[in-house]
Amino acid sequence: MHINQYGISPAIVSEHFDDEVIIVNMSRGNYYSLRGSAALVWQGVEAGASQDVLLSYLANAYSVDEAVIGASLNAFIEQLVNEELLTKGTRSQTSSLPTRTVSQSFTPPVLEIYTDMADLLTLDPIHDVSPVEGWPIKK
Amino acid sequence: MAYQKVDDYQPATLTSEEAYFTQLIADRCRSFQPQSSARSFGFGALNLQVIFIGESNQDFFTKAISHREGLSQPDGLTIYVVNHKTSGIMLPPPCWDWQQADGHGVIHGLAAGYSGTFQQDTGVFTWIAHTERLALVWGTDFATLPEWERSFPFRYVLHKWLEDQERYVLVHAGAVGTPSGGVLLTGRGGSGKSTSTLACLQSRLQYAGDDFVMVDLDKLFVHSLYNVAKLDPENLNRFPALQPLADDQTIAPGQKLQFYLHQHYPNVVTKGFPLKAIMLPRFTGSQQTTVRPATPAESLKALAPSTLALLRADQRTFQKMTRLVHQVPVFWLETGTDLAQIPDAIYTTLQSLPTYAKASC
Repeated sequence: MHINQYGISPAIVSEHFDDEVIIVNMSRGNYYSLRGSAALVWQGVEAGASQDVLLSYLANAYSVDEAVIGASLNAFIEQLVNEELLTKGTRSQTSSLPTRTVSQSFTPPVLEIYTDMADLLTLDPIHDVSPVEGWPIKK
Repeated sequence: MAYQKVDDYQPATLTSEEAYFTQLIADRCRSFQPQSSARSFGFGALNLQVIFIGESNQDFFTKAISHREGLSQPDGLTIYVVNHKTSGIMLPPPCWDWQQADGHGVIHGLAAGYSGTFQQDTGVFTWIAHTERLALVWGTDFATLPEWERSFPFRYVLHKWLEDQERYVLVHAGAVGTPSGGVLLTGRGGSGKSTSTLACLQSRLQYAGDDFVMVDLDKLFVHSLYNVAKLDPENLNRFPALQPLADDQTIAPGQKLQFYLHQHYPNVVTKGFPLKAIMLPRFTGSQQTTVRPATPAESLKALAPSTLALLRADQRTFQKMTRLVHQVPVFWLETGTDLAQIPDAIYTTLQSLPTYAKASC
């Protein structure tokens, strides 16, 4: 039994397409595109796979030695955590991964980051409330 | 479990603090004198009854939707627009803790069927109560609202009202077409969405909006919400037809000119059309405008981020947009400097596509 190390952040929404995964992180105001090996990694994480299983999954899919992809996978997972797309921890449920064979040669997973949405999400926290009426005070 | 009454005025049948808060709002609005008559606006199956409480510049809230004004229909949503400065109506004490509000003023953790937001910069509180079919737009002084708010009245109300309905979604897109079908034009900021939409003003294509439109996902139909066209002043020279309409406009630095097309060109504005395709404008710098296929993923990247951000929307709206981009063909609209080619390219594409739906608007 594998220990699952990552979960999907509850702050994100994502959608799978044939060759791409689109992820939106509303709390950060960023959105992301994952293609190729990056999309496969995401599929694996969604299924609850541990990092070890992901490594094996990618190696089998691209028919390459695990040593070839280990470092880039680790860096990619770390980036997903830093972007708050993944949380460290055990997933409560796992599902089996489909067998995949990719005809293209392996290229390291890339997280394409789009930040133009963040400009539309300027925060203005409510901090002054009238003690009498209970409503925010405009200063 | 029934909500415990907080005072003797609360009817025993109310089941939550939010229901009581709503009842207090309704009582204050209904007892205000003089009571103005409701104005009715229809968007497909959705009917809004707008009632102004206190003296307000009604045009500010209705000019952008004047092309949808009509007869009252049953089972509509009543929106009270309350100007505190002229009505004196205060809001009841909040039934939430302000720590429930996020940085956008959206109040989380309310009982199911209730939504609220407080725009601290403008002093506008918006409340939507689904069970009571009632919404409130309350402002400290509407005369101080920024001019750009005039171009999309009740946007948040419409979005929240439709958020739980799988059939309808508000999207950040322009829309142009003919009675037999049209397109959504969507893209990231600077992609040329507004330019492409405005380029169609003097063409065979009618105008359904350049900012937000409502899409019926079951019937694949675009409903126009706002008849406003917005334009950066530095681009005005590219649109000679709009230049005379800009003469009397005074705008703040960084703001856009607003053109209320239903007032000036009523035949240009349509209430809606069947949706045939989504187009993603992209300025190429060449003279020609060309059309080539795009992918649903590219369409979602163009459509979802700004829609989600501007509406403060969540996964429900995201999922509706993913459903949308899978249902219709998607194209890149690679626009050139000859603006007249843009409507021609759209029209030619539309002619090549089947019509998926016929629905009333």
